[in-house]
Amino acid sequence: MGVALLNLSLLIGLVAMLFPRASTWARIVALAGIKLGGVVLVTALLVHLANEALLSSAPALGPITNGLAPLPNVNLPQISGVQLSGEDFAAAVASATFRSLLLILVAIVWGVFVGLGAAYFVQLRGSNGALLSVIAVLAWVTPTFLLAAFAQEIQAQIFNFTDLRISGGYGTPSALQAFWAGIVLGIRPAAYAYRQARVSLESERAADHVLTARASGLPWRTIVNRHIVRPAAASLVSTWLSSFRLMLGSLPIVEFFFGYPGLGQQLVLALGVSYPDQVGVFQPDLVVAFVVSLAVIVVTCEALAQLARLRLDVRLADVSTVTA
Amino acid sequence: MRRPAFLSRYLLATIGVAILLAYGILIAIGLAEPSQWSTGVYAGGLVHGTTHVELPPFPVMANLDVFDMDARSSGSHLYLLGSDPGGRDLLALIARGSLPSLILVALVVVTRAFVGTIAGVLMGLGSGVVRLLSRGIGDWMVGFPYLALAILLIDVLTPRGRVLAFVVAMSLIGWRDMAEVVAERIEYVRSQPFAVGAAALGTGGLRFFQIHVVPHLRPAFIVEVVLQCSAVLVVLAELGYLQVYLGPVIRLTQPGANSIPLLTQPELGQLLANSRMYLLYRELAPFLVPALAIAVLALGFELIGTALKGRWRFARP
Repeated sequence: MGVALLNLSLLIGLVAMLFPRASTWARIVALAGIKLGGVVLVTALLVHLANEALLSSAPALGPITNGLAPLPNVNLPQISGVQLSGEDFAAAVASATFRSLLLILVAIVWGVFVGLGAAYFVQLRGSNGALLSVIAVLAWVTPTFLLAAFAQEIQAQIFNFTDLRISGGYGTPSALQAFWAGIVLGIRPAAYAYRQARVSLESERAADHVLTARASGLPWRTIVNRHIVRPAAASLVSTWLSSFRLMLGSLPIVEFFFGYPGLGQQLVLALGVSYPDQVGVFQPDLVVAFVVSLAVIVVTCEALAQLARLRLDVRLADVSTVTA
Repeated sequence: MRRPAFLSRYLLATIGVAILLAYGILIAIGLAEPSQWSTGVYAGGLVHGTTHVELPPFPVMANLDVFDMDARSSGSHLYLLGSDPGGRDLLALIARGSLPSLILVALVVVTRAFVGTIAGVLMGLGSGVVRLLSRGIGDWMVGFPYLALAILLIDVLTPRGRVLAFVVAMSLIGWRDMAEVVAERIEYVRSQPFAVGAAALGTGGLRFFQIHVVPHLRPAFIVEVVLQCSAVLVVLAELGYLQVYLGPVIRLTQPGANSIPLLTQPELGQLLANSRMYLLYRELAPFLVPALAIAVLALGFELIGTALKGRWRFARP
């Protein structure tokens, strides 16, 4: 599959060279294909090597293994101890992907947009946003699972005082659980987005055209909207993309913590990490499937962000046309 | 009224250095404790001077006359940060665990800096194809979920040594930021009029890099190295939470039964490996203390990095 994707993307790239007008789109698609093909190939290779390493370490140690237990005499992948057939396998990956997308959506809506929005409002108010910066630093240095533990503690305290069950149930995909997990998932990306967006906006604020706009007596809101945010839009999209990648990177840990059966949790379990009452089992096929599913989400978003950047920044679009 | 920027910078740097110093003092205190408090297992303790019995995990600031599994007295001890469920002093565990963790962080940051610098120079100074390739590899790497990639690499490389596996895995998932910083600085210098002048005078290659790029690169590089320390610590904690940690891992696995990790040499990530169990039984100290230790340490590095970043305001290309 990886080789097929690589070939297809190279073909698209070659065709793009013949049709310069369509080349921006084609180049983006070709690049996405190359990335995805590479991810499939490398993941398959790493999974194969990891499985070999685990199998080679297991017999010598008997029941005591070095970290993980390899899968003994099992030909089909399994989730929660249940072996899956081909169709079940695809359905399991698809449903996990859907659940994770829901979680990501919540995290994007609250996390990244709050981060970018806060940077915008700080710029609009003309303040230095010291308090928000401190909060962002604290959120940034706190490991995600610690944030999740705080969220769980809040749930527990609310239950203690009001008898309301607001956690959404452990290990079951529900709207409330997606809400809590999404909130936690979005915290560090929000902090990252806020800090990076502040840097971009401050850098744009120092530009000559902003000084000219201020000297000509334009209202500050107009200056921010038209002369600071608009030129910085492309770099804000890049910031959004980076925080999105960070979010996907943290997805396994958040889903594992909340027992939310999405891509991240299933990937972690397939890697052999287990809950205290379970035995970790390394499942090569599932690892490849889940990593590739996550990579598809990342690569698709990257392609969309690249298109958005070209739309938002005329300078980038010009460079792209010239290059083509 | 706005506080002058330099005051904020000094404040941040001072707090950052104070945090690192305080952590250093805490490690020294922990290391000074006899090793029995980080290796022995205790069944309980009598609150000093009373007949009230405490069972582990002992609370913070508990002064106890501790006894072992055979109810033999093991002496009196002040648990400054509490204990784990085995009655071992968390301060002593963190002190002993910090050293291998910090050495690992240093190794990872050095490797990231080395790989990142080479890749950044290729991105900034290389020919068109080299730039495209090096940028492409960097972009491609971020397509992977970083924790999954790290765990896979650690599994693959563990037979060659656990430390090597961690260093390679954690470096591979994070060299790109360093490379981006180096490439950005090089592109900035190359876009300046003095660089065009230098090129016209025939200064090129390594000499150009040495004279014109290095002075502009150094501050950004130092800032990034400090910030990387914080980032690596957080990744180490997250891996530890997912039961992937540095120390020699012995796990008793029997199908259908609990998987019991045997703790050997303490390490910060390893101390977090049983967090889920601690949370399940509402034993917060053994979970919170190592997690907060890592967060505080990361905060110290982050504040120093932020202060330095403010000190050297970097113009963009």
